Amino acid sequence: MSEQVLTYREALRAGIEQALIDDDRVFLMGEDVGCYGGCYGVSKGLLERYGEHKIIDTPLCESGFVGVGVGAALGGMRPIIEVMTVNFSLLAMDQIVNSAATLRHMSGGQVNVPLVIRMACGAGLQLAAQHSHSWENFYAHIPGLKVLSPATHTDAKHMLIQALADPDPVVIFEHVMLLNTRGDVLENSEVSMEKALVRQQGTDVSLITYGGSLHKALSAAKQLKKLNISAEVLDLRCLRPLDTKAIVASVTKTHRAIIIDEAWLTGSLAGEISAIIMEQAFWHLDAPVKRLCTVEVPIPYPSHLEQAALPQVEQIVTAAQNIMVAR
Amino acid sequence: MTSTPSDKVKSSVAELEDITMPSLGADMTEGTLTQWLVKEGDKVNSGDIIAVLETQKGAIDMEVYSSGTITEILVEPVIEVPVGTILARIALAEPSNKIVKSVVPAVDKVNETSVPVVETSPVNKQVNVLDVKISDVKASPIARRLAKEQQINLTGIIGNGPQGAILLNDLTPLLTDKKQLNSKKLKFAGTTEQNMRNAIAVAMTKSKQEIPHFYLSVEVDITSAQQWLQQQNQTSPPEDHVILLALLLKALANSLVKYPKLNGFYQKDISQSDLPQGDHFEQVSAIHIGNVISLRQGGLVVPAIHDVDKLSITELMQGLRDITERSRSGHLRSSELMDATVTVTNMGERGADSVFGIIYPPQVAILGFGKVRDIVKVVNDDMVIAQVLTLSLSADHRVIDGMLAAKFLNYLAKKLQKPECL
Amino acid sequence: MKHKLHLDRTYLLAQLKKMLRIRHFEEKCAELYAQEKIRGFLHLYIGEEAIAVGVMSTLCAKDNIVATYREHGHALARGLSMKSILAEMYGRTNGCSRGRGGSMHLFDKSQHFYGGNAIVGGGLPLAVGLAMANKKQEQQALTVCFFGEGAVAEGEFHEAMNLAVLWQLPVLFICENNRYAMGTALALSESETNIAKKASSYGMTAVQVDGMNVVDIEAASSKAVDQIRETNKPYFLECQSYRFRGHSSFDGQLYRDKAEVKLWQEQGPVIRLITWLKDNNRLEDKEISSIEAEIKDEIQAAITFAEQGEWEPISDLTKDVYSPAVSSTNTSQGEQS
Repeated sequence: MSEQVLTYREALRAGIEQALIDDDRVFLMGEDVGCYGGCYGVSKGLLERYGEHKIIDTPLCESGFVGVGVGAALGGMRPIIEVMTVNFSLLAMDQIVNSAATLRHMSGGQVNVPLVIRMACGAGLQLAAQHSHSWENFYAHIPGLKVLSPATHTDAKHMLIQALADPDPVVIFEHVMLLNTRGDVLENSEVSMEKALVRQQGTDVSLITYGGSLHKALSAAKQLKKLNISAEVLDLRCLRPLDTKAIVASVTKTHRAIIIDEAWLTGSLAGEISAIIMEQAFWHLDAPVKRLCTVEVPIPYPSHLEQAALPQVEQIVTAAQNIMVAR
Repeated sequence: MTSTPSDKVKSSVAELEDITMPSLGADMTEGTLTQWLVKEGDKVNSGDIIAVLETQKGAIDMEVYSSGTITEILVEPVIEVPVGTILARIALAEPSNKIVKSVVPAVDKVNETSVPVVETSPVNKQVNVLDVKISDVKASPIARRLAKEQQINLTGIIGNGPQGAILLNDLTPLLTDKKQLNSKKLKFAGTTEQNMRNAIAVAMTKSKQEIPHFYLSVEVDITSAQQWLQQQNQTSPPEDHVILLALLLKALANSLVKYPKLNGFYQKDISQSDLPQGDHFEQVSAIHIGNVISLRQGGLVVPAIHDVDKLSITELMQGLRDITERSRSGHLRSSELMDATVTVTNMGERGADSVFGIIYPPQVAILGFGKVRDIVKVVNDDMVIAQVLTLSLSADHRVIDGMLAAKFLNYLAKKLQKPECL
Repeated sequence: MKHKLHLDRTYLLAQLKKMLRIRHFEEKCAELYAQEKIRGFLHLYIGEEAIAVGVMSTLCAKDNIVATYREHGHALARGLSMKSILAEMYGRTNGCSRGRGGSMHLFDKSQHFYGGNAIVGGGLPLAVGLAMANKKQEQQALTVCFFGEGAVAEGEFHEAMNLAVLWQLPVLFICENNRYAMGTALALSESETNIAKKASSYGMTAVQVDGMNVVDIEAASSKAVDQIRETNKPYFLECQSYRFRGHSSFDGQLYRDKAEVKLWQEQGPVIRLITWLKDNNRLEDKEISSIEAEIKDEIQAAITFAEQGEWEPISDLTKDVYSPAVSSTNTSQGEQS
């Protein structure tokens, strides 16, 4: 399989471009996606290449343009809606939750909403309390939505294309700390968008994570190897529906699970995953499930405090050592 | 030997004898085989320690009661089985003329590949692993599941996990190859305080609920006994010093020879356990005195000194030192824990004036020795200072009446006036 | 392809019948609600029939309709069968939304009828989006969006107005101004009670029309539709109307005088058309009786149809949450070992 090395940002852009080329019904719409080139530069240059018919700048009205996206999807289009960051998506939550997620069901299956909503998420850029959220769990709570978290460069490109092929609304979270990182982009997707992938095989403890925390888990796994602890790293990729089988399979193998989730602890996906393990893999457990989540504080501006709030590699290593303490 | 139901069950025309899980006390219904100290083909002599058992009262060495060759090991550790379960077979060195009675027929067909806790066997339902109480044991879910699947009893296994929880790795040596276990040095937990507490609670509650206790006491002058002891100990090195307890035990043994109704077992009729008609007192000629020994880590054990009536004071003193030491190091023999015919509790050193114990079934009496006190006594119109202690007796009214008990106590008090004759 | 207005007797009788059909259907719904055949919220359209009938008369089959939770009249006027509507309100699988939606969520894709949206203002961006899809695909359809005057206070109203005009999309906005947002009078919720004036500030044609006069509405809608088809630009109609019943089935109507209601009822769309027809000797009582008998039969048939409808098996509970082709993957629910 041929591959290229791109930044995460470029990989996202490559996915959008491929979608625009492949399907005439696809268009990109959002705040500053056109003339500005995207708040995070993802769509830079696309307006020039594909025109204002395909790359549509919107006013600042998240509920309005997301609702328009829902309507356009109902009307046969394949819109990619960029909500600048997840915090702004709260203003569009009515359309995402009350319209996009419900229309198929409310109509008894007559209509569907093939819509993709992309949004930036995550902390680490010192953007403080209103621009650093991990609210994947909000959307992963909603039946009718699918929620993706591409953590690799291949997924950054291909999950968008997979999402557009899906007849139902898909929300994609793009972690801001990944944008500048470089990585291999395979020519094709490794697996369907709803499957979790083992990024590092291991036998002693499962590090279950997604999105911006994946590289932290992988770094921790490397350090743990030197400590003679074999950590398996499971990249969830799809947060709704969760790949329950993959979670159970990994924990069944390792008997120990640490979930790394950049969301706040209370009500987090980490809690959901933990519950799945209790329900379906309890008799395989050799230690209590551990959650590593963000400290419950609005994300502070100073870097040292921001970093202190987030799950870190050292914490993963320590948690794994603790969970293995009796070995 | 006492009443443990079936230490030996003769099983075939060959001179084979079954080695079963012994009952080490009235309150023991099951025991855990934690380690074999012999293998098939080993020659053993009667009295040899052949296995380690784990009970609620701690790790106990299991002795073999016959001499011969171990022909079959039928049960592999670690496993909890009911009393009477056949653990191994021994080919007797000499023809046996022991009475063979089969009291526990439940587990009589154990073959090499199946341990007697096969869930599907209806006769074994009381040993179903599912029924084993594991609530006190901390273990991870997978440890519990594997223990169930592999029929491993978790009680007594040292957990290396948080709060002592048993984890997968603690079980790994047991899972790999059970046959190799004999050569492996397994670690077993000593009796935990809680386990022992539970055992005491069960036995004492049962006793108080079932046995109609009555109590009496006499104050006994031990001035002369103390003087005699002082004289004796002046001429001997400290390690050979005799203590008052030895005199008390010896006097007790001699008194029991005179009053054998206090020495023996109150037996329940097993076939009609609901009706008291079949119950009876079984007088025992041997006098094995159980001694309540407190352990430093808490709890207590009651090992017996055998045939006290036949021991000299010196031998008795050695026996006392020996069981005390082995109690505290956890190396009591099974027979020492199961065959006391009467029990004493000696509170003297700790300063209680008297103690009225609870009878340890199926025994029918427990003697209490209070602390030695100085009193002013009138002797021939003179006031003299004398040393006394309170002898107390808790007795089972189903077997003993008050008059007999009083006579016995007075006889004992009298015996103590002439220590040189003991 | 200009819409032609017909004002002959036959046509007006037909329009009267359409309004009476809604009126009697809604009255029966109230009755069935009291009998607990219909549950949930029930919002009746009585008093506002002229708007749906007038506007729908000017549309083509491929035009899209986005309505509110007070949409029985729109659905009937659009052409959804009374049977499928009532069965939906019964929650049966032969309902127009297979029973999943109920009174507030009537859908029929074949009629381009996109609900039945019960978030006030929520349907407005949807309508704009449908119009955008039509425009991008160069389809000559327009999208009609019904909403009450209560929606005007919502941000989504303004966002939708702005986008529709900004992007020049073929939307006909129909504001059914029945003067009360639930129990809040227009004057208590709007700084500018002339809603057409508000809408016009976004840069589109916006007019007020008598919402109690089916002919006026049809005329105004006809003009609007023509303009939209010609220019592909949005158009705004404020239909001044009145809701004779409470907001929903359980409404004490403490917020208005009975005298006020009576006044509006005397000016109601049905009575006005009947009076006018009679005054001009174009309607006899027996014709009304005949029409009502027909409607009564249709309603009875609808009840029979609804009563005979199947309950969806609980085993199908999670159906239509996702599209079937890709919903085979496991979810975290319902899988317990």
